[in-house]
Amino acid sequence: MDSSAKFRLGKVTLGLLLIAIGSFVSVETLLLSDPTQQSTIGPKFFPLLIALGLGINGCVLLWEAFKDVFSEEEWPELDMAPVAIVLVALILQMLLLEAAGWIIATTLLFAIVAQAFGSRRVLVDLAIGLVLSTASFYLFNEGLGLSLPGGFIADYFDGV
Amino acid sequence: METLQFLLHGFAVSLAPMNLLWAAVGVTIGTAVGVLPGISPSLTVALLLPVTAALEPTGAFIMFGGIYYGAMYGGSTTSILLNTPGESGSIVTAIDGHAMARQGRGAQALATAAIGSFVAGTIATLALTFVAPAMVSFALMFGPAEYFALMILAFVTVTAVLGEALSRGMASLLLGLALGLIGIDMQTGAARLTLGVPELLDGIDVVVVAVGLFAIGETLFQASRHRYEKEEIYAIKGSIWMSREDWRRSWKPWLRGTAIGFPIGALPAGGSEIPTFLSYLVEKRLSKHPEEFGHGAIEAVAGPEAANNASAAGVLAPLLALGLPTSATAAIMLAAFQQYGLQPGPLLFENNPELVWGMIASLYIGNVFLLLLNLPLAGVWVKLLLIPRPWLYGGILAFATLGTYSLNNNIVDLVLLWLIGLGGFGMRVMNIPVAPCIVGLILGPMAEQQFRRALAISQGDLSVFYNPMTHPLSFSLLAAAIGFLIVPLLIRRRRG
Repeated sequence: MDSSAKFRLGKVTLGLLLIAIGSFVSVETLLLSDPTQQSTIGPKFFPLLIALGLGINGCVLLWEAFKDVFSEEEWPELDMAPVAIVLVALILQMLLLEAAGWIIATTLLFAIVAQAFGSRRVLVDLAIGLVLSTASFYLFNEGLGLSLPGGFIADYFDGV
Repeated sequence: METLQFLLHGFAVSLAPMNLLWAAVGVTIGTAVGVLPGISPSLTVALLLPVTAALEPTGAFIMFGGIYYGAMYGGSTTSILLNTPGESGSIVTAIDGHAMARQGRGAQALATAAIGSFVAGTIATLALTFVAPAMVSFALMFGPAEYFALMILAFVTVTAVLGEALSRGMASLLLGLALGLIGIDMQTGAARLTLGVPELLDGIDVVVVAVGLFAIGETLFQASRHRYEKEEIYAIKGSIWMSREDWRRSWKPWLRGTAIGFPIGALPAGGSEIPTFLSYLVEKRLSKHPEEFGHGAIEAVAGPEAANNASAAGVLAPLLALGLPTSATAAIMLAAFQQYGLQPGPLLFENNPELVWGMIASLYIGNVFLLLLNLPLAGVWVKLLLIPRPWLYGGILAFATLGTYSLNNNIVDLVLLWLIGLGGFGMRVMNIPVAPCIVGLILGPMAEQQFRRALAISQGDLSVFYNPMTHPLSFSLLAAAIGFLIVPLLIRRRRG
């Protein structure tokens, strides 16, 4: 499929997505129980309006895609593998964050993302990631009073 | 005059040693982070939000002002040296600025950008000093119907006045509006679109959306493209100072750029594309060397840079005076105010004058720091650009997740970040503008509130919005909005 056809397919997808989101918003809104407080315009008005807008916009996009409007636009060449790697790295960080703590989770995030971008030096990446996450951990926790999770390492030190 | 009195008081506040420090720190980190490729001024401001969260309001906002101006300057550095404009306001600078860099005249491009930004920033901040209070008195005439109409105008201008297809700008706006729906409805307490997830009851934070769309989305896009793109950085050769000729050719564009940038930035017209493009066209028309444009004409950097900075200052006028954000960055700053429980607008000028005027006064100071800092340090910032991409993006994601998680210490925010990031990637690929989404997210709930309030007061009478007799202001604003929407379509129809 050539790139301009891909772009049109993208528009079709986007159009369908908007219609789907619009439908979802309408359904969820209509399911809202009637509020105990009465107001002139209830909480359903705007969501339904926006859902309508999404639906119309979606149809316009579908129409544009079929009519071949703006066909000069092209789908850029994309290498999806690194994208998938980065997405997985983020999920990993999310899963590990509260159990293993900020430092470990972010070190892994850093190293994996660096790998996704083509770095071949795993150990260096891990080292830099460690330095960065430790520095940010202490800087933001002690210096700015935020509280990033310490995970089992911090718990260990607390117990000692 | 009262305004001058307030301003002097503001200077007294901002010249306190602690606040001077915050201004300096703000400008420095703003520039440093803004310089990094892939980090636009809006993202810089969003990422550094948690940093300011620990300070008390006056200091935080002084630092914020510094970050804002610093980030704009950092962004121009990237667009000149790397040809990767971080946001729409730097697109024009990249054209001739990068051409100059390729000729080894990068330092002169950076210098004219820095000095131009200083000139524009100072004059524009001066204008802000007088325009903001004027807007406040104007705003006192605004009732809910007028505020609603104004926000509709802002929606329209942020989507319609783009070079992109209206259908995609609108899609972005509608998605932002839909995201804004999530949470508890203020008027009735009903929980909307929360899908039973308790963390969503407070709605989705603007910072999560901004960081997701800009940082995660951009990183994913760069990840998908890195195989195809080579990094090219042009070294700075020869003298780093501007020649006589450079000065001569720059000073008028600086002034003209400022004159173009500030008014357009101050109007509820979204985006910095208009002032910068307009400045480019004006300079080309007036230049003695129009054939150089596109190949490294210094006026083509001087004018648009000044316009960009002046419009950034201009954006602060409706933000501070009306509580109306007209750019993604302004929307984030509004979120920052709200974090402290403050609502910008006439009341803020009434109740917290030291805060507002302290912030405005520190903008002047921030400008001076920027100039002193950046002229000699241009070489240092260039070194930042030498950070290898893998580490740069690793760092960006680390910082992005830090900022997002520390908002509420909640994994749900990270999940949202992930989802929105994925969406941001899609938007980048499909060339869908991001600013309407952010403006929709933050203005949507406000617009809804004003709409319902207006109707509650008028007891269901819709004519309160458009009746030219009783509400001429609201009528004109809505008419202007319709105009902005229809006129470009008609023009395009006539051409095509």
